[in-house]
This record gives sequence, C-alpha cells and structure tokens, in this order.
Amino acid sequence: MNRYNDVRRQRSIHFWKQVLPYVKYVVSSGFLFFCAIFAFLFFYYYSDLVNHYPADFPLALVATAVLFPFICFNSIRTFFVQADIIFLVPAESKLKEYIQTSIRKAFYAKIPYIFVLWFFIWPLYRMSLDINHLAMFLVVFLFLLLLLFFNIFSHWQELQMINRIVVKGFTFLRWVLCIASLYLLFSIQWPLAICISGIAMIAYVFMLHKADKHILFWENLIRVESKQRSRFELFLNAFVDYPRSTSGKSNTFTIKLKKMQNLFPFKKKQTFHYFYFLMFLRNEWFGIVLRLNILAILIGLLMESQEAAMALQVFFVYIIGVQLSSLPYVHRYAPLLNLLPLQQKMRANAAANVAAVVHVLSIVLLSIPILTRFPSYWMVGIACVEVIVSFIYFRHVNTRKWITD
Amino acid sequence: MSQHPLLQVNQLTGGYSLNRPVLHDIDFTLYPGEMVGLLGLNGAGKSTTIKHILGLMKPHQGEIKINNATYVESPEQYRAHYAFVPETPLIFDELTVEEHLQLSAMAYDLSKEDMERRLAWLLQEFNMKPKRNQLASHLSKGMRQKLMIMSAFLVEPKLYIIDEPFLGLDPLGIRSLLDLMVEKKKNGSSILMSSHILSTIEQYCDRFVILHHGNMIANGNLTDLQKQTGMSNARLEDIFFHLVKDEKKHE
Repeated sequence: MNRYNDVRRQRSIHFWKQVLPYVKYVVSSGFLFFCAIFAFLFFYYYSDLVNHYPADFPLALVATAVLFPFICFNSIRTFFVQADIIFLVPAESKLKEYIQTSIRKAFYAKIPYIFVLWFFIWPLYRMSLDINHLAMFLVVFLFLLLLLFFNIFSHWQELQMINRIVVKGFTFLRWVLCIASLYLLFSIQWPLAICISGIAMIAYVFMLHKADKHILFWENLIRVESKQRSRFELFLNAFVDYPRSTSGKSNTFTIKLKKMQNLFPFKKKQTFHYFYFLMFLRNEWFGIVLRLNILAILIGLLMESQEAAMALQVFFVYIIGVQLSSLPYVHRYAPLLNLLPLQQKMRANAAANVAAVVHVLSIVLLSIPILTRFPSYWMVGIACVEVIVSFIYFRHVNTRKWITD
Repeated sequence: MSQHPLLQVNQLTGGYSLNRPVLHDIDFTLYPGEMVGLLGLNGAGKSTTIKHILGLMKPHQGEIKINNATYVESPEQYRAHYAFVPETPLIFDELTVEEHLQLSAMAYDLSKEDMERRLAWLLQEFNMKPKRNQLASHLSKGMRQKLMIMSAFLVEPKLYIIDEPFLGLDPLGIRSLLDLMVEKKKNGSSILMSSHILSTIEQYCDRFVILHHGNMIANGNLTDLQKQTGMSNARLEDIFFHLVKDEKKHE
C-alpha cells in the first residue's frame, strides 16, 4: 500500500475511533424511537400508495425530488488538516492514490442509499410503465450509480477550481443537469433519457477540464474537510457533549441583523444571553431551525387529517428541541468565557433561556398553520404542554446536565 | 512603595500535577502604577505563573491576591480587577470585532455610552475601524492580537496581565500598545508583562521578575539586578543571559 494512502487509512480509523463511542448515546437518546415512528408512518402511507396507485401520480417529480439530494450533495472525506500545508503539500504528486481512495469511499458510501431509494421507487415506476423486468431494475439502478459517480467526480473537480464564481456556475449547471436527467428518466423512454443525459455529462466533463484549476486546492480542501467534520460533530452534539474541533462556518448574513441583538439590554447579567444568542445565529442552529420550521409548515399544509398534522407537529417540535439542546455546549471549554468576571452558573442558565425561547417560538410557529386548518382545543392543549415541557427541559434537565457533565 | 500592593504572589508553588510542581516558591508583588516584566526562557514557568494569577490553576501552596482578594474568596470580584491579553488570541470565530468588545464591556459592567466612546477611540488607535463589523475568523493574526489588546484596554481594569503582546503586531500596533501601557500606568493601573523582547522590556518596565526552571532567580529594578550579578552598567539582556547561563552551570 502507498504510504500516503496508509496515512489516509490511519486518519479515517482515528476519526471513527473518536466518533463510535458516542454512537451509543445517539441510540439511547430516543432518537431511534422517533425514527421508528417516522418509518412506521412512511410504510403506512407508502403501502397505501402502492395498493391504490393513482393514474395521475406525479412520479417523475417525486422521484426526482427524492433522489436529487442523495445524488447531488456528496461529501468527499480527505481528512486533510491545517498541518498538511507543511507535511503533505511537498508530497502532492504522490497523493493520487490517497485522493482516489477518498473519491471511491464517497461513492461506496452512497450506494446503499441509492439502492434503498430505488428499491422503493421501483414498484411505482413499474406500475406507471406497466412493465416488470428485473433487467430494467438493474439498468436504471446502474444509470443512477453512473449519475452519482459523475456528481462525485465533478464535485471533486469543482473543489479544485480557482474562481469562486466559476465554481458556483459549474455547481448550478451540474444540479440542473442532474434534475433534468432524473426527470427525463422517469418521464420519457429510458433509453432516450439515458442517451441525452450521457451526452450532457460528457459535455460537462469536457467543460470541467477546460476550467482553471489547482492540482489540489489545499486551502479549500482543508476548509471543506473542517466543515464536514463540523457537521458531524454538530449532529453528535445534539445527543451528547461531543468535543468540537471547529466552530464551522458562520452565517455572515446575520451580522446585518444588528437590531435583533438590541433585544438584549446592555447589562452585565445579560452578557451570556447576548453571547448564546449570537452563537445561535452564527452557527448551524439558525439554519437548521429555520429549515425545519419551513419544512414542517409545508408538510403540515399538505396533511389531510388532524391526527397526522398533530403527529407531524410533535415530531418536528421534538427534532428542533434535540438540535437546540446542544446550544449550551458551544465553546463550553473556551478559556475566554472562563476569564470573564461572571458567575459560570449564569452561562448554563443563559444558554438554556436562549434555547427555550427559540424552541417555544418554533412551537407557536408550527401550531399556527395546523390551528388555522383544524381549529381544536386539542391542538391548543398539545402546544401548551409542549411549551411547558420545553421550559422544564431546558431550564432544569439540560442546565443540570451541563453543570454536572 | 507605601501603597498597598495590587497583586501579591506569595510563596506560590504550583503546576499541573501535585506530584510534579512546575513553579517553586514564586514571590513578588505589583504596586499601583507599576509595570513589571516577567522574564524567562521557554518553559521557565511564565505562562504557568500567569495561569495561576488568572485563577485558571489552583496553587499547591501559597496564595495570590489581587486588590487584597483571593480567587477562592470571590472569583467574580477577583476577575473584575484584571484584564488579560494572551499570547495566542482567544477569540470566537463567529463574532465580529465589535461583538467581542461588546461582550467584554457587558461582562465588566461598562455603560453603553462608555463602551462606544472607548471603542471608537481604540478602533482609531489600532487602525481597526474598517474591521469593526468583520468576523474574527476573517482577521489576520496581527489583527486578532489587536482585538485582544482592545478588549483588555476597553474595560480599563486595575491590573493588566499581558503575555507576549508583540507577537504578530505591526510596528504601528506595537507603538500604540506601548503608548497605551504608559498612559494606563500614569493613571495608576499596574501591568504585568511577559515578553522575550528584552530591549523593550528594559525600556518600559520598572522592575523585572526572572524565572528559570520554575524558580524565581531575580526580582528587582535594573540597578538591583546589576548589583545581584555584579555587572554594573550592564543591560538587561546581558544580565538575563548571565543569570540563566549561571543557573545552567549549577544544574
């Protein structure tokens, strides 16, 4: 084995050794239970759809929407770190195998997802075309894998590009190409769709080769790797106090939301509230909570029954709560916070207050569309219970956990 | 000095492990309006001494008092008396320059008016005005250091603890910092500064505490050190080399 590939292998092992001990906390957190409920609901609606497949079902649209994120958004783990500027850059020409392994692993990691998705889409596709050939299942599956590999390979090339605007252009074009390929696959005859997509992919790859690129754009690769690691750490932090190595990328646009910061009085006892509110805005929490709220509202508007809408609201309130429960742990061991002339207990309380207020706002926001569609005292009651549980959890359970951890 | 000392480090023995203390019987004081240089080779114990003074480490023996209060008695009050400029900037990548300063101002109970007045002056003095709303992660190393210096000087404490302040600073930044330290000293604040730039330390500090392998091998003004080493008219740099070389021979 190439010695640099061995470095990659060691780094990968080290990363997973760090991560795996924490997985049991994710499993025991009740998250799996909610995943199971989610899976149960999915199977319930899915089997209903398969048994009563409507002739006008928008399969092309749904299949494209489901497959697109899994095919287009890929993370290629290089495990590059800042110190590699000193230690690995001189060996750049010998890293071919290292990089190939990173790309290959990214591809292999996605195959099971694509298989499962295609496995569930296949019965619907079969019914829409009125065919039933295993060969057909395999051909389309192979085409999906080809599309996946094309996306991973192109993403890697985009990471090496010099001009950021050009990168955005290429990424946008790739997404459009991917959406079009998927949509065509499920809406026109598959041989024609595959031919058109194949030609488009070849043209895209040709254009990729013409773009200005670094052999390896080290700074960008290190930044992207750090971002990927940060995402992973954020996920684990939602369940357990996982030591974060980076603070990830900040939401710079929130700097413009200066007036929101004036919500806090300029007082000593508000210092940590101010700090944790900024941490909420600038880190991933703001984006996650915003996306989950929007997603829940959109799905809620499509719900036909009151019970399903309520279950959905409770599910999303729980997920948002899980995400926010990691807010107090941000910069937990930052020496700068320890040096401030403030009682450290105030930190836990302030973080809990910020998390609780955001959570309660989400509860209210998620309840409004459901109450508008299905006005009932039940829903008001559930929302009230959620608010109480949220305050008790953040002010007492989470705060105590932070102090005793 | 007839005044009451602002910082008292009394017979301090400390370190990371009880079994292996890094510092041995360190003993010195700092009076209001004094600037003291904390000197030593790498690994001499300067940073460990500073960590003990900051209250980040617990002494094995001895005690440290700032304004006659120990950290154990009242951590909040103890910390309100000092501001620290670390060797490596301690910043939050997600906060802007102004937000860092506002965080310090709030924690040290400044009024908003005072903060804005001092902030405007400091931004001007350290050429950081255009960076006011930039994230700390986008600042250069020198600018990060300036941010740390500005945070400390914004709150105007009684005691400044400054660890290797000149690293990464441009010449204008160094000059601004030195001028600021002289001004604060005139106003009665005390400064404990650790640095390897002995010529600057000699020029600006009133007294010097020299550490070597965790022991205090000298403490006094330049004349005291000259007498101790028998090197009349010698410069601080020569005295320092003489002392640490001499200690090396005894090892």
